[in-house]
Amino acid sequence: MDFKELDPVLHSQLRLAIMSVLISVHEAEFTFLKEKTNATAGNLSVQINKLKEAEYVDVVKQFKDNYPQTICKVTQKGIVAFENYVKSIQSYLHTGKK
Amino acid sequence: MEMNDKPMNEMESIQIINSMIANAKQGMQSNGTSFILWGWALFATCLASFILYFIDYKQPMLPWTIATLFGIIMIGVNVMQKPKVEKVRTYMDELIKAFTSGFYICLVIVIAGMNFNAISSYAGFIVLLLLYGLLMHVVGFATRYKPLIVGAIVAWTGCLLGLWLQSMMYLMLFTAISMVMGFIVPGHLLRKAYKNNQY
Repeated sequence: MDFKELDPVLHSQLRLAIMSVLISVHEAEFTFLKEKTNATAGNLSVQINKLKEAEYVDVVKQFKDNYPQTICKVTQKGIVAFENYVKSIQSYLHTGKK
Repeated sequence: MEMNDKPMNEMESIQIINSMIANAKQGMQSNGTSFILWGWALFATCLASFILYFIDYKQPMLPWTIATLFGIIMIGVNVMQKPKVEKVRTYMDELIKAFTSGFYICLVIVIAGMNFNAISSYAGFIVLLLLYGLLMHVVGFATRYKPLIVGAIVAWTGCLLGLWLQSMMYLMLFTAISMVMGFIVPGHLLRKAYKNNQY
């Protein structure tokens, strides 16, 4: 069986966690992602930028009631990449069982 | 779970995906205020109308004129309020929002139809009770919130009984009971749950 190569952008704990949260919701604020992933603000920011560079997430920075707000949303490209990543993982696991 | 950039195996990947998806799931975020407000307002109006029918008052639908004014004020206040800053917006939130706004549009059309005598008040109130039931049913199933599903069953049963008895007086009573079961009880339960478990 041919193994699909795992997407290096997603094959990182924090980036995978961010994408898993964003896949389940429509859009989420930075503080929500921080709370759910238990990551530090700095690390989270770096990983979100990497996902943004790969065009897997859209990041919108705005002001709401005089407070800065960063909203992240998964893109169509991100959804396809996540689905492919899950398929690859599943194929590894199935082969391992045989 | 503490995250870092260490290499991970397939099982760890699956564990992260599963735990994050489960973690991101949100229950009903409502504090029940709108259910309680609308529930009590409509309950009081239906009950007052039922009593006026019962004592054979000349204008038994008078409470509805007062309720319409109250409704316009409440909608006005709602529109004027600043939208709440949400930390997260799920696909389900979007769906429920679209459904409830559609529900209110239907409500306005039916009420306008009754005011312009395009449909009889009786038919109008039957349709309104059907719509309340539909709202409770859809929101109840979407959020897996059983009290709302029970409310829907009560509303539709009241609707069937209303059609069977063909009495405006009893239709008011069944609508009042539906408001208790479908809006007031779930609303107070939501408020209690919201106070105990704010995310």
